[in-house]
Formats: sequence, structure tokens, C-alpha cells
Amino acid sequence: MHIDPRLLLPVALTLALLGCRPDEEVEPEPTPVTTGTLRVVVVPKWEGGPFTMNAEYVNVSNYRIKVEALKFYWGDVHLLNGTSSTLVKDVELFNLQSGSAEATWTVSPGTWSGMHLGLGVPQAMNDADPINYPPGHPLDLANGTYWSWATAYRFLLFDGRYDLDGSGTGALLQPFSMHTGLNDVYREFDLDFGGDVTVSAGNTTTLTIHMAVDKLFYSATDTLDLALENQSHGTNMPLALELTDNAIHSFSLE
Amino acid sequence: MKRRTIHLLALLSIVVVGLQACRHDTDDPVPEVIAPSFGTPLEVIIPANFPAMPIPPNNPFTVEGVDLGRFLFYDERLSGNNTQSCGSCHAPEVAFTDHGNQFSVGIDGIQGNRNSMALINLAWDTRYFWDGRRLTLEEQILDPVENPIEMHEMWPNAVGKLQADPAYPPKFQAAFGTTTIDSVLVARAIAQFVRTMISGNSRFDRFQRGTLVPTVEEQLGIQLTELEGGNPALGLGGQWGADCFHCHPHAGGRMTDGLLHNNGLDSEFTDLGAGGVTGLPEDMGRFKTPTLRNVALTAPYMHDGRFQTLEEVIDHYDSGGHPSPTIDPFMKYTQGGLQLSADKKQQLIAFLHMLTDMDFVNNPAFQDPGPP
Repeated sequence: MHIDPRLLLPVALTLALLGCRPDEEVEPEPTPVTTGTLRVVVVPKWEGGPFTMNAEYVNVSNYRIKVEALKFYWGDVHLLNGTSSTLVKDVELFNLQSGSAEATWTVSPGTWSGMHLGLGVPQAMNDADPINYPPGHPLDLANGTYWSWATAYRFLLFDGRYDLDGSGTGALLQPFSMHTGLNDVYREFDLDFGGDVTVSAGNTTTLTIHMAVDKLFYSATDTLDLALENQSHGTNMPLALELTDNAIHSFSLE
Repeated sequence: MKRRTIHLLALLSIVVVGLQACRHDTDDPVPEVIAPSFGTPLEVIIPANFPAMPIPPNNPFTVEGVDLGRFLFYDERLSGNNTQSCGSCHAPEVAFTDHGNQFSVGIDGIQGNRNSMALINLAWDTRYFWDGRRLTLEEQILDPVENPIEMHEMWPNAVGKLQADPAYPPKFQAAFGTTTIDSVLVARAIAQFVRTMISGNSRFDRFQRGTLVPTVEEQLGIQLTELEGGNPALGLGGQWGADCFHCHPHAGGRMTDGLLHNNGLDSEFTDLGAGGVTGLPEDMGRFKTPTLRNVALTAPYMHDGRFQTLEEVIDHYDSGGHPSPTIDPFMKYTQGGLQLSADKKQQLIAFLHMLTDMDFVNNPAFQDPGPP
């Protein structure tokens, strides 16, 4: 068969151009989702009701108080299921300056009955050089939680002011400023969910935890009297430990 | 060669070339880091006692961007009458403050009401201006140009003047891939330049890095800054210190917590500070903590430049400050003060002088480069 050579060029061009259509989108094999998300929301409360930063309350000692700063670290957070325990977060910072604070953690699917965690920064991280933590990390210096003098982090910062007259109406002028820290103050505790919490692959489960700010001023056995104890910055260890214990007992599941 | 053979060879060539062009795009290498779209990536050297620098993903350092920002920082055409630049009120020889002036005077002869802040290590800050009203350096840079008591120019006019200068469009092309200038790109370039202004070689830095032994007076001053104030007999935890560390922490090299505080300057406020921005009662009288770096060069002090000397500043803190509903809880000795001795005050002064970094002040890379 004779083919007119003049036809060869357009045919070849057509073939070449047609061959250059975009590659077919090859659907990648879907990667199976093997983890879920646990969203932890810490909500400050006052005597079971709403709590607002910078608003006035009357505390257990019948003092008028207002809180101006409240932030804390959780360390080595483990989810518990019977006898098993899974580390889900090494350190997290919760800053309640604007009300609730939250964190989201990637966790293995499972059913969990509680958490085991520490109030503070675990020793290995607390002793490390803070400049090594990158921007955005809970231990980033920009968070203003580092104690240069102690070369360690503050674990809980609780600042505000008070008036000893619970029925007074004037401005609150007396400051309280209680910061805990140092490895000796790190305390581990359990937080029972009061039931099972399930995290499934590819889904987000929200865990709402209340922090009873009113309970920071008392425990079952003692009262933190602001008239006598209102400053703690690492050198007042008894007050730091008292506040730490009060804080541990202030957490509960919604 | 026969014509038919030529045609067949041509056909073969076209098909081969066509097929070669159809290689899989997925073979292309994927960059692992976000690189600038234009310009030459610039790695800024961070002192060993500093943390990593947070750099906005949309404004990475480039050689060309920093170079452009330097020209713009000193370009007086950003002002309404072409007489003031950023550098007019932020001069390198005084750690980028305004030559000892309490308040700066704008192009119309109007005096401001706040002291010009030092521009040092701003890359690590998270709020800008004394009242903290801007949260990024790029946002902050936009404001003074249009402020009627400062440079008093409209951005379209300022941009028009830059666009008309044949030297600038190529520089914007090199830095950002466009010759069309706008305020966003101007702010990004200046922000890149300002982020390179890192002070990290004072005597105190060298002490922190273990390469300098302080004098005894300096050492005592360093210790005082990290001790709690107050009489331990009156308040648990008191250590007779100067109590500086809460707001001016040493770690990380910034010498500021970068946060907003009311440090007890007044019981009633003529300048509301952050409260003037947020309207919140708790923000009244709160101002951003300035860095202590190069503080010996940056008089006068406080947001309103009320103190002329470091001695006056220390006397203020020693007094305990004036009580008010928003005074910071860290200012806990409004009654009785810190009771620092004259010796302790001198030790603190010695420490503050340790923070002077002449390498920063004299760095040729920060000086006015002249016309673009």
C-alpha cells in the first residue's frame, strides 16, 4: 500500500500531541487511618458555675478575689485501660487566660477509663536547655513560663488580687502571685473518666475537664489563707506543694 | 537520501520527542523545606544562647529581601514630606531609639506621647508597640507611615514614590518576583531587615556562653536580678533581691517576657496602654515589657520616657511603685518597697551595663546604606 509521505508529518504530530495528554490521575492507595484524635478541653469553673478571668468572686476564706492569670503544664499524660497504659503526650500547656483551653492529641484507637498524668514538666524536659524547644512548642520560651534563676519551668501560675473584706466594694489592691515549679513539686495523679471513653480511628473524641478554680484555695484538710500566704516563687516550698495538691484535686471530668 | 526516508525519520523524531515530553511529573523532586519563591535564601546566624527564630512562612529571609528592607528602612520617601524614615526615630548608634528624646516629633512638628522603642531581637516578640496592639512585625511596620503624628503619608503615595524610582522595581523583582510595589511587600522587606537586628554579643552573652568571667560587682548584680524581693521575715519567700526576673528573664537572650504589665508607674493613668486598645478594665495601664538589652544606650526610660537615668528606674522599682487596680501581682511591695541598699543598686547598674552590645550598635549591616 502506498502512503503519501505528505500525510506522514500531520499524522505524526497528531500522535505526539495526543500522547501528551495529562497523565491519568492514579488514585493512590488510601492509607488506612490507624489513629484517632483526642481533643481535651479544660474549662475553668467556680463552685460548679461559670468562671470568668478578672471577675470578682468570694473565696472559701470570705475574701474577695479575682484571678488574672492561670496556666499550668501537664506532663507524661497516659491513657489508662484496666492495667494497660499508653503515653499520649509528653508535655502540654493550658493557658486559661481567655477562658477554656484545649489540646488535641493523636492517639491509638481504644477505650479508656482514665488518665495518669503529672502536674508540671517531667524532669528530663524540665532540666533541658529551653532554647532547644522550637517556636510553638509548649516549652517555647515565648510562653513566659521559664524561670531563668532556677533553670527550670514554672508548673502552675496563679496570679490575681484580693481584699480581705468579703463584703467590700472597693478595688482589689492586694496582689497574690503563686508560681510552682522545681522537680520536687512535680506531682503525678490519676483522673478517672467515670466511665469509658472511646477513641476510634479517623475520628475525634472530645474530653471536657473542669478545673474548679475555687478549689485552688482549699483542700479537704487545709485552707490557703491569702492573708498569710500569697506569694510563691520557688522559695516558698510549703505553699507551692499546698497549691499543687489543691490543683490536682480541682480537676474532674464534665 | 530519498524524500520518503526523510519523512519517516522526521516522523520518528517527533514521536520520540513527544514521548520524552510525556514523562511522569511525579518524578520531579519535592522540596522538603519551604524555600522562598524568589531570591537567595539567607540563613541568619542565631547566637548559641538563643532559641530558634520563628520566621513567618510567608516571609522567609532572602539576601535580596533583607537588602531591600535595609534601603526602605532608611528611605525618607516613606514620609509625607520626604524628611523622615524609620531610621529617623530608630537610630543604630542608640540601639535604634530616638537619640535620647523623650518623645519623637513627626514630620508636622507634632510630638508623640510615647518613647521610641529599641529595635532589638524583635524576631522573637509576639506583640509590638508599647500597647501591644500589633501581633506581627509586618503589621507593625505599616502603622507609622500613615500615623499623622509620625510619618504622615498615605501608603499609595509612598508606594508611588518608590515605584517611580528606577532603582526600586528591580530590587522588588529580585526579592519578591514582581516589579509592582505595594505596602505589603514594603512591610515584608523591612520586617526581614529588622529580624536580622540581633543583639547577642554583650558581656552578659559571653558570660552566658561561658567565655567571660564577670566582675564581682556584675556577678552580684546578676544574682540580685534573679532573687525575690522583700524581707523574708515579713513575707515567705522574700530574698532581699531586686525581683527583676519575672518580667526580664535571662533565658533565651531576650531579657524580656514580651508580655504586658502595669509596673506601678501611676495610680491613675493618663495613658491607658493596652487598655486603650482592648477597652478591658484589667488592661488599663499595662504596657509591653521592653528588653533590657543595650538599656544603657536607650535613655530615657518607660513608655513615656519619664526617667532619665538607670538610677531613677531602679529607684522606682525599689519604691515598690504606685498601687492601682491593675498593678501587676509581681509588684508586691507597694508598701515598703524592696529596700535595696546603695551597693545593691550599683550592682544592678553594673549588670545593666553588661547588656551593652557595641557589636550590635556598630554592625555595618544595620547602618544607612544611602540611596538605593
